[in-house]
This record gives sequence, C-alpha cells and structure tokens, in this order.
Amino acid sequence: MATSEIPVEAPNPHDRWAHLPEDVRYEIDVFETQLKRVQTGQMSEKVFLEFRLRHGVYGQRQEGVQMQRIKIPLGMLTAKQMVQLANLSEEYADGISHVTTRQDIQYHFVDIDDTPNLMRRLAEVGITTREACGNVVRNVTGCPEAGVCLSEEFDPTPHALAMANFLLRHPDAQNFGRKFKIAYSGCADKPCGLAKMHDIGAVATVREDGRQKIHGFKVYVGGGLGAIPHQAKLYSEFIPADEMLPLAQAMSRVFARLGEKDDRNRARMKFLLHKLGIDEFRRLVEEERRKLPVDPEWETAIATASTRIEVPLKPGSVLAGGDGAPDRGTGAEFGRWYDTNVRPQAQDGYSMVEVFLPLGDITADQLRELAGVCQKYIRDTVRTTVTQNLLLRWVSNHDLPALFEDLKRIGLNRAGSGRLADITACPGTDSCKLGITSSRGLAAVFDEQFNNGKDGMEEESRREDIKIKISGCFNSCGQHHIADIGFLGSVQRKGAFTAPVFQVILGGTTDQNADSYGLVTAKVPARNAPRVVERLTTLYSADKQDGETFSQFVGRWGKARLKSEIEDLTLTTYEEAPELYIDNRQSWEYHKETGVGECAGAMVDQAEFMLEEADRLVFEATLALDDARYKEAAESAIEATTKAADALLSTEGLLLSDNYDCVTEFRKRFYETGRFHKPFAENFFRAAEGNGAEFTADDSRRRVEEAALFLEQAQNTYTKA
Amino acid sequence: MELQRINVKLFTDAGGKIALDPFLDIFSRWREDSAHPSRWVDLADYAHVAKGPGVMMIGKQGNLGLDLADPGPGILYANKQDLEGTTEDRLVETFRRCLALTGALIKEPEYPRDLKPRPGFWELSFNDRLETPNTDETDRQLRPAIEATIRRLFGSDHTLIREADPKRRYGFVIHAESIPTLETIAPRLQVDSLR
Repeated sequence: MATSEIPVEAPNPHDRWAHLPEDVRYEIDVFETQLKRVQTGQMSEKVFLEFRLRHGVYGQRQEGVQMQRIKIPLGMLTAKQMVQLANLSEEYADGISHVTTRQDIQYHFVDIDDTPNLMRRLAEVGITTREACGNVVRNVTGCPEAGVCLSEEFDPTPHALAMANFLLRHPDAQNFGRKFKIAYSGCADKPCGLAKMHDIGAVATVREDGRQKIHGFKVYVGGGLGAIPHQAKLYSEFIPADEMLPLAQAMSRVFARLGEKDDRNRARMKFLLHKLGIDEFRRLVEEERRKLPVDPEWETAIATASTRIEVPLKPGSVLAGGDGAPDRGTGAEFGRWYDTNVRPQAQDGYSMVEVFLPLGDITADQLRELAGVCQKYIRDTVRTTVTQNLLLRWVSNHDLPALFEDLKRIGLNRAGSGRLADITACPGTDSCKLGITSSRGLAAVFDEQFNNGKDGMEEESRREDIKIKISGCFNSCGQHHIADIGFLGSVQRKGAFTAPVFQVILGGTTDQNADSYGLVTAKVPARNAPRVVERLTTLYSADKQDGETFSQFVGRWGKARLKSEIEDLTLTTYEEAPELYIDNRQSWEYHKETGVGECAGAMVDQAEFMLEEADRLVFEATLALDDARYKEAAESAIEATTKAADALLSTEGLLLSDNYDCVTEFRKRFYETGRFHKPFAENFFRAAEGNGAEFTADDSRRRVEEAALFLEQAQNTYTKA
Repeated sequence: MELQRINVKLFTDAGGKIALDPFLDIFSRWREDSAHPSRWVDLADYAHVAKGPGVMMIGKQGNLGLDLADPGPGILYANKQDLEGTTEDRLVETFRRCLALTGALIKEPEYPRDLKPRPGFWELSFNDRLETPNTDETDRQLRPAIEATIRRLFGSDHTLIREADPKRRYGFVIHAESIPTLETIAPRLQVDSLR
C-alpha cells in the first residue's frame, strides 16, 4: 500500500489534549489518522471497518451517521462521567444517552468526523470506547447490586473490573473470529448478572478450607443468545478468584486458535464449545493455562481494581415513619415509587434506588442533573443495569423522600422498575441495519399503555411476575429468549403485502442468571403485540397457582393451548385489516429493508491489522523525516519493521504475550528458510541491533526506506501465505 | 472561532398535553426530500422521554424537533454544519434556517393548532463546549455579535438573560415582547413566507 502523498496533517502534540495520558492520546491520534487515511483512499475499508468497530464506532441503518458505543465496565459511572456523557450527547449526538442491555452507553446519529474529539473528551473522565464493538472482548458486565446485595456470596466488583482492564487491548484477545462476552454475578439465584448467557459467566462462590474461606467463582462457558441460543456449560464448580485472569487468558488463546473464522454465523465461542465438547475444551484450556508465562498483571490488576471503593456520603438511617417502612404521609406517589424502585441494602440503614429509564433513554439535562443528585445523596457512583436503568446505591433511608422529590423535579421518578412496565428493547429499525421490526416502537406503545393507564393496563404494569423483552431481529440484542414474554421481530407475507410481525416467545426466565430460554409459541402482527400481553397476563392472573412462575404456568398450560388463546390475533389479509401492515409508532406502510449488520464485524486477521499498523508507522516516519525529526523518523521506521515481522510471526502461531524474541524467531522462520527476501531481512536485523544509529538525516532516511521495502515484502509474503 | 453548532429554540404555548404523534407523520414525509438543504437523515422518536427532545428530524446540516426540555416546549433547531462568514453572519443564518423550517412545519396539515409559537420568546445556545465554553471570556468574544444579531431581529426592545450555570452551554433566553408575530421577523431574515 502506498505510504506517501497523503494529504493529511502530520501528527502534532495536540496541545489542547496534553493533559490526557500519553498512551491514550496516542491511541486516539492513531484513530484520527486512520480515519483520514480511509477517507482519502489510503487504507482498506474492510480493515478500517473492524478498526473503527474496535473503537466503538458502528454504522447505523441511516447512511452517513454512526452509533457510538461507550464501554462502561460493570456499568459503573461517576458523577463527573455522567456530566461529561450528558454534555457530549447534546454536542455530538441527539441529546440522548441510551443505556444498553450490556451496561454500555450509546449515542446515535454521530458524525464520524466528530468521533476523535468525542473519544478525547471521554478520555478526560477516564472512559474509553476501545473494544466496545468488533471481534474482541466486549464490555464486562456485572450485577449492579454487587457489594450491597443481600444475597451475594461476596462482592465480585474488583474481580470483574480487573478482568475488564486485563483483557482490554490484551494481545491474546485481538484475533477472535467473533465478539466475546464476559459477565460476573454475586449470587446464583437472582437475574442481575445473567451469567449463563455469556461466553464466560462467573458466579461468586465461597469454599471453606478448614477455617479459611476462599473466594472463587463457579464458571460457565459458551452461553449466548443470537439466532441459535446456547445455554452455557458448567466449566468448573470452583475457580479461585485469583485464577480467573489466567483462565480467561487461556480461554482467549484457545478461542483465537480454534474458533471459526470463515463462517460468521458459527464463529462465537458457543459453536466451538459445541464442536469440541466441554471435556475437550477444558483439556485444551488447562493445557494452555500451563503454558502461559507468568504475568504480574494477574495480581496487580485485582489489587488496582480493589482500590476503587464506594464510600457512602452519609451514615445509614431510618426512614421517617419509624420501622423502616415508608411514611405514607409523604404521598401515594412516593409510596408507589418506594414499593417498586427502592430495595434494602445488605448494609443497615441504606437502600438502593433504581431510576427507571423508559427504553433506556435519558436526556442530557436529566443526566447532568442526576449527577448533582448523586453528589447530594450518595457521593458519586451509580451503575447502569442490564435492564437499561440506573441504580443509585448507598442512599441513607432518611433521604428517600427528598431524593424522590429531586428525581421528580428532573422527570426521573417513574415507578415500576423491574415490573411489567420495565421493558427491555434493542434499537431495532430505529437505527440498526439488521432491524426487521420496530422494537422500540413496540416498547414505546407498551410504555404509553402502562404509564398512562391506556387500555386499563396501569394496574397490570406494576406486577413483578412477568418481564417483557423485545428484539427487532434474530440477533437477540433485546434478549427475548430470557423473557417471560419475549418478542422477536420478523415479517410475514400475505398475497402481495408484507407485514411486520413478532414471534411470541414464551417460557424463558432471567432467574438464576438466565437459567432457561423460551420457545416460539405464535406469530402476531406487530400492532397486535400489546393485545397478546393483555390476553396472556389476564389468563395468568386468572389461573395462577400458588407461587407459580409465568414460566411454570406456560409449562402447565402448554404452548399449543396458549397459542389457541391468541389465534385470533394472528395476521389477516391486507384487505381485512390494512392497519396490521404498518409497524408501531409509524404511519407509513411497512417495507422490509435490512442491510449488512456490523455486529459480526469484519473478519480481519490479526496479521492484517498489524501490517496496517506498520503501514501507518512508515507513513508517520516519512512525515517525521519531512519535518527533520530524524530520531523520531528512525524510531517509527524500526517500530514499523518490527510490527510487520510480528505480523508474519503471528501467522506461524506465535503470540505476542509469549514475549518471544522477534529477531530470533524471524531469522529462524523466514530468513533461514528463504521465505523472505534476504537483504531486506538483513536490514531489519541491523536496525534492530541499533548499532551506529546516529539519527542523521541520511541514516534516518535509509531506515525509512528500508522499512518501506520490508513492509512491502511482508505484505507480499502474507498474501502468498 | 469556527462556530457551527448553534441552537435556536422558539418557545411555544401549548393548550394541554402536547400531541407528538403528528410530527411522526410530518417528518416521515420530510425525510423523503433528499434535495432539502438540511440533508435529512431520518426522524428520531423520543416521545416516551419526559422533558425530552420529542420527535426530531435529524439532518446532516441541522436537526429540528419539538423540544420539551425546560424552561418549556418549543421548536428547536440545532445547526451542525455549513455556516460561513462572521459570527453575526452565522447567527443570522441559524435564525433564518430555524424560522424557515418553523414556517414549513406550521404549514403542515397535521401540525397541532393549539401549539402556538411565541414570537418574542427564544433561546439561543452555543452547542460546542470546546469552542465556546460557558465562560466570561467566551461572552467577551461573542457578546457584540450576539447583541447585534438580536437587535437586527427583534429591535432594541428586548432582554437577554445569560445562562448562569457553567455546566450548561453558553447561551441566552431572549425576551422581545414587542414582536407580535413571526411574520415581523421573517423579512429581516429574508424568509419569504411563513404560511
């Protein structure tokens, strides 16, 4: 690839951003350079696609605008971060911060040219978008109640944070065929962590060893939803907590080496596990684990994460009213909110308060104001939840009425968290290229129905024994498989007309970390989906037996019988009911339009990435040379050459984390075997020795020219391979 | 100073609960107009969000929507691109775009008739904290152009109240009670007709 005559500015120190850590500043500068290079035709669009995804920049359904995903490990957000997120949402997006089902924040309708500064400003408050999308380890999620939960074994927070930090940018986690998701839960029974639907799910467990209590995790592997959902398999009943990072590293290596790379639909770890079987997978991981060179990060990552401690702002207290029960004198509205959105903490005198965000959306004003509310009552940190809400912890009970009033002032006092009204939905056709139906449109119709008591559903909306989740397509971002009533977007044609429909999925559950998945029971027009819920909730209320869950009710009634109960809601002809051929919250006729989704990223081999990076470094070296920055030019050239050599070595199965000697290995595998043009390789060996490097103009120019030749040859060798 | 992100909000009186659904119909038609200078991308439906942006039209040049945020509902135009010239030129052009789009909006048959623009009650904000942080220095630099623009549009009988909270954007609420109708302002911005 050509590396000269590129009309972009030379990298400069970006004085405005001098306060950012150097490595962070450099990473974003590289992103900006690559963006300019692809815009000027100097970089492969395929490689840039995966590259931008790895920075959280995801193409929307609408041409020319991007969704920016922002990684929030465990959903932990400080007040300062909330203010910055609020500000950036109004400046670069549409004023809305959207909480996702994996505890991220997403902006929509972002101009790609704004993304470098957006990333820099996020970095100012310690947030990275790195590896938010793409074939890498995505946001590590965790139970938002961790550390304050009544039923947890212990607080998994430091271990989950350590995992997030350890695998971020880790060389062993850069060559996957697909994305890789990790979740932590503090207990086995509750639904907050959803550990069993992840590639690695860790559930806190304590083992007694004599008098000693050892913290560890029950580890599940190979879970996942998507078009073909897989329940995770139990990998181990107990992995000591300090063994989790090397275990994940070993699993990453096995997945990178053996996972499917060509067939994008079968590249998740769940398919590898299915192919190998859990016993063989375990054997391979254990073998890999034994080979791993000891990494001090295994210990320091946990130690560092353990320093992030939440200290309450106020001492615990009793809510006015005496016995900890709400003082109803503060009003019925407060009472309703208290009943659904407030939960006691493990620590006496404190409560958790869930802020219900309809469809996971919060405005810039609300988020900024909420930061102030947090500082007033809890000091600092909130957590996003996998149900697309926010959780305030460490609220002193006496403050609950005042907190309620402050939340009311900013329109965030909606009751109903965790109840029927609290619906999970993916973006669907609003912004996703893969969306088939408007999942958010349906969620908004439910919201109107439940929130405003439309169709007599206000009372129903507060029931906590049914959860609704909606996905606009089979990729399952709305997690419909684990809902009591799940909706999966699809289409149905009758005659010349196509209608948006939802498959009705019944029998799943989020309990016990998403212990079972539901199955399709019927298919109804999108416009009839609200009536399905009315019908099923009425049936369940009328026939619910003592303590029977909705999932058990579905099992007892049987899907055939339940299907017959909603048979009249299925699609009729256009002539009979043309309104059924229009999606929810839309006034126009439905047309199925889907594009190529970016969930699967682009399959870019690690070697290809490294060669692209080498190319950029050669380019930077030429710019440095032009500016008479000779030392910098020579160093960039050597770095580029080493990167290109590493790229070829990676095709031989060598891993950067093995800390091999690049020159020795390259000499053995490519020079002595005659697979690389010898004079170019010898230039590399000389440059790597560093003898006589004076960084004169001539010396530097020679180094840059040699690097360009080496890179050209490396690209040829890679292509032949 | 490279000013592009300038927001102008024209406050409205609303009889009761504001009906947002009509904007879905209107904007679903608008987005088909690929030749419009706003370079429409799509509509965004945030009707479910309390005090939110309502239903918005997203464009590459700027966004338009019925904004429900405090201090009250109004037609919000958020310019993003394509401004040129002096600061005053850019401000005038942003007001012009806002007024032209408002005119087109209120002409639509579905536009809720009880949603009445208040021609003398506006909000101006600079939606770019990198270029225009809410500081006295920004105020010192921009105030002359802002005052000149406001005088040109509303005459001398107006008040400007600067946003006091430094966390919020640099901007102003503008009261010009002597402006009886939007038609009074339209010729000053070379907007041909509002109806």
